[in-house]
Amino acid sequence: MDLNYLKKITKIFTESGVDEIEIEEEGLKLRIAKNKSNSVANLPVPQQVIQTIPTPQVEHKPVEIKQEVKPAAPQVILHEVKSPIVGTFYRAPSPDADSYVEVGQTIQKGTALCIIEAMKLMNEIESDVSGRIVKIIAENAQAVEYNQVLFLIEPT
Amino acid sequence: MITIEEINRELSTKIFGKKIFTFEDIDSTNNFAKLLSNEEAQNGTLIITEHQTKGRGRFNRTWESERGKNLTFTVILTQLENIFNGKESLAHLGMLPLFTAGAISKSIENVTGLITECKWPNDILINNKKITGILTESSFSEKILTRIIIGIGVNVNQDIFSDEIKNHAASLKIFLGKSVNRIKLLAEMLQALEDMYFKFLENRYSELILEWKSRCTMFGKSIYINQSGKIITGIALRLDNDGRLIIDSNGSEIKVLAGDVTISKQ
Repeated sequence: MDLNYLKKITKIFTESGVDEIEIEEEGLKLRIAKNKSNSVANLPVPQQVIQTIPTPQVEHKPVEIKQEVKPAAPQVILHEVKSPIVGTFYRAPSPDADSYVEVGQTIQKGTALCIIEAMKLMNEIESDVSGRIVKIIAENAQAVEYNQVLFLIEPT
Repeated sequence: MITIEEINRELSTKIFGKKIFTFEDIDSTNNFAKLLSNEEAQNGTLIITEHQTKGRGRFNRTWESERGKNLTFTVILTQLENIFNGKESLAHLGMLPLFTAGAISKSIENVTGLITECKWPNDILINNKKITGILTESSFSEKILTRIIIGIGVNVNQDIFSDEIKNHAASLKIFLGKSVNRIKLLAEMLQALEDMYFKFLENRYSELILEWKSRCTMFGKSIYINQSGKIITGIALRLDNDGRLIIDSNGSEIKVLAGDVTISKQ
């Protein structure tokens, strides 16, 4: 079909009061319809930018050129385990023992994470969430302050 | 074996020792205290044994004690939510081992007439030999303090110590020259610990620090402190209001929060 012909038909159709026109010529069927619902405001898909070209359209439905912005990967909010007291941070119950937890380890709520010693008071810090240890921020045998972040945990 | 009836006959405390667990053998009284449920672990619960198979000190160091000769027990403190849970009160929590040592020292002196010495923070010595081991442990969840466990081992009537520790440890009997009534000593200790606990609740920290200080003989002496391999040397000066040890190290004052203190030989 000739493009100029198509443009002409379209112009006539646009300026006319007709809502829909169908032309069949040499085996080619052309259907042009005015888009009455020109608004996209109520489209339910979130985070999409939609540009709509109204009439004319070669298909039964209005053609929509969608530029979709893919939703960002859901952001994981990491849980911070903070020191409740001033003291010395220990990752293991004794110098030659295994650490309570390692990065990547899955833990349950109530799992012991570390000890913070304050003047020979040995304070065991338990996890308040279940999840996976993402990062161990405090260093073994180093002083930690009140409210200092010790661990980052990805909750499950 | 020490029985609950014997303890009850001597005890005149309000809350400490009102619930008692006794064992001939147990791995560790502190371990047992940790495993008790909240319902089982009433405030002031006493766990006492004649022998620990896995007696331990700080960092799982072994605590040796001859069966049936000494005192090996744990006291549990609960109902702490209104006492310690706040930044201010938690700052004072670290003083508990120090105050415990003060209370235990006082009761040893009351019962035996021996003079004890306190070494920062919670060692009790007679003639530079260790008489008592104290292991204070606590658990935090969601920044809330849920339980405090005070484990105490006192060398009471033990005659012989292994070669490994005999130069550093001794018993009350060795210094006194006769056996000490363990039940009377236990009752005195529980009373002193309860008195300390109530003073703690009333924020009477300076009184409690004074109890410890009056038995401290390390001030003015050269000391070295081992902090997980890092050695600090200096002269012990005083305690600050939070019970931390202030030392003069090469002309600078340092606040010490942790470490094993050794008094240098003069």
